[in-house]
Amino acid sequence: MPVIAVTRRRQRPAIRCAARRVAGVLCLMSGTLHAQNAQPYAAQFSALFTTIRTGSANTGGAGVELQQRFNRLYATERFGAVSLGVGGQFTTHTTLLLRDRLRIAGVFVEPRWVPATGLVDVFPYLSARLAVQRLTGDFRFTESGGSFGAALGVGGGLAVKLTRRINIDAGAQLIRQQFGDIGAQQFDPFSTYTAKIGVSVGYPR
Amino acid sequence: MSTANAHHCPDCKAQINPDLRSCRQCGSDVGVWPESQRTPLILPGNPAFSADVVRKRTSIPRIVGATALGASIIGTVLYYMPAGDVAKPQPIASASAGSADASALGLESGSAVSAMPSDAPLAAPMSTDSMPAFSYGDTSLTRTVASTGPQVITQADAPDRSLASVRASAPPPREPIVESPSVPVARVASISPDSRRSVTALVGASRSADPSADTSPSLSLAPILSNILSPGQQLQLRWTVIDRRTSRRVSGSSVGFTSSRQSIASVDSKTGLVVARNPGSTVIIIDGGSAGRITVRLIVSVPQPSTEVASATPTPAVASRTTPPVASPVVSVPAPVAAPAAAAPRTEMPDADDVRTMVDRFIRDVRRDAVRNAELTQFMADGADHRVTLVSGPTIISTTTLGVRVTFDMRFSKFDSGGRPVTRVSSIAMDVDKRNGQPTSSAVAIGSLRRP
Repeated sequence: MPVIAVTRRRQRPAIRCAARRVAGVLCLMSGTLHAQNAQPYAAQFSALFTTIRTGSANTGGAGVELQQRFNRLYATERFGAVSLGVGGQFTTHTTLLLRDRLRIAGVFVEPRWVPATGLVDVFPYLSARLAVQRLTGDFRFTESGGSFGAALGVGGGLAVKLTRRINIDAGAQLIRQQFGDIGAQQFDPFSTYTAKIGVSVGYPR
Repeated sequence: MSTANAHHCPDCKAQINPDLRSCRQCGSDVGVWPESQRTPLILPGNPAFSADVVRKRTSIPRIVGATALGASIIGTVLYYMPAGDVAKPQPIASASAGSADASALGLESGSAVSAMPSDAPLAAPMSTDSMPAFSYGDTSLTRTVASTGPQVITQADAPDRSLASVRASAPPPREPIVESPSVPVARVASISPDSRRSVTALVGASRSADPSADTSPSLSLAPILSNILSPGQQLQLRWTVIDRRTSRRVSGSSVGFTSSRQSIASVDSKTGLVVARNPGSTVIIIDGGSAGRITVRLIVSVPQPSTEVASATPTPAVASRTTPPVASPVVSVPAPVAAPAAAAPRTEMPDADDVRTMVDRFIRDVRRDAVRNAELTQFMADGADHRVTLVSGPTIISTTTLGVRVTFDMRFSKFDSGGRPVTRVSSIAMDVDKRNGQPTSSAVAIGSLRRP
């Protein structure tokens, strides 16, 4: 019992110290960085979830997305704000049975419209995406390789004001994608979804 | 093949070769029919037969073009039509920017004592804080000059120079003197740029001319600093008659001044110069005929030896006004006048530069988020690119013995966290006074933020 008590005494300050550090980092970010939409520019980092149709089955995957947003494209008090994002995305997909690995990397442009609503801390938006992608397949029983493709999608999302300069952004899009063939593997045009959740940080002050 | 030149089968109406004797469609012998019946009866050029022509007649571009042409013609006609005599809406006191006649506007609303034109040389360069939205030239600003020495009443360049005169009066100790709205500040400055003399203008300068018949005159009296006078003290009443519809001063109008008790205070029936004689109370009646009538109650009291300034407690308004039934209710009421303690030494009144300084200082504080207002703090705490600008220049709405009260509108804009621009407007009221030669603001009232 005394040993346990001593251990607890030692852990509590450590936990508190770590919590203070995290809080300090968050405060520092909120104090020095800027939110996505209030500032002219914003950097957004998101986790990306999407699927790709391989044959007759959909193969899910996850990845990351990094984009630079230009928030002052057009904005009026009645219309809302239109911003444009340019960035890159990367997702990896693994089929369940054959354990084939597919990687999709690409660049995209994503216009976004935040309509004028009465909401202060929550900002719904409509978005579209045009992407040029490179599909790389690592197949176990067929020839591996890569091909280019394109994607076009529309959707929407919700940005929640976390601090004065940081927003949490969650959205989903319906995507129409098309890739070229990789050897014997054929990829017909297919529709899928893309969901993401991330954090946007605006700059400069 | 042109439809007009084709031959048709009289039975099945199918096109046939004129050289053939039978129809290939139905097999009938078309040779038994005369050629005239094998030729369509609808001649070429008939719009009902030609789909192209019909479509052209109902084409949308043509309709749009005709509509645009008609609209342009109507617009041209409306543009060159002589505008009717539309009465201008009466401006409000706070929205003084852009007024053609600032003095008339200020007096119309009962808010300003005098007006400073845009080219007033006394206006100092503005600070960069409030540069974007300042428009002092169009606003009604009061320049009140306190009397410190022997009172010299100088008649400035009144519209009618024949009445100009310069005269010296007995040295009243604390005579409240206010500039006349009819005297531009620039002209006052040219008369006495350095000395702080009290400058007044004679009333009834252009009394000989008759007012125009199509005007709607309205009599206004410039607010007086104090209605309490000492025996021997003089008070120059200033008035103006403006047209309610155009907000411009009516040049030819006569006004008569009478005192209910000449033994207490006498008034010149033409010039409006009041001379306090004995302790008591009297009512000065300013009769403008069809322009209205205004009464001012004056108190003549012997000054007390007390010198406490802080005891100068404002009293309710003492100036009253009665309007004849024919007069419009637009006739302004003089601003409430605070009566100081009788012996309180008159402090130096803030001028336009002092007011501007205080407004600049307030804007700077708002930008630094140093103004502790909950709504403003909330507005400034969110978003980015906050801008604080002045919508309208400060307008003096009332004067006291210690200072002036000004109002102005401020615009607050920002981009919220959604990237959308947000603009709000608030009306600010500020008391500006001068202590130890330095302008200060004793009270600031911030109106709620509203959409512009």
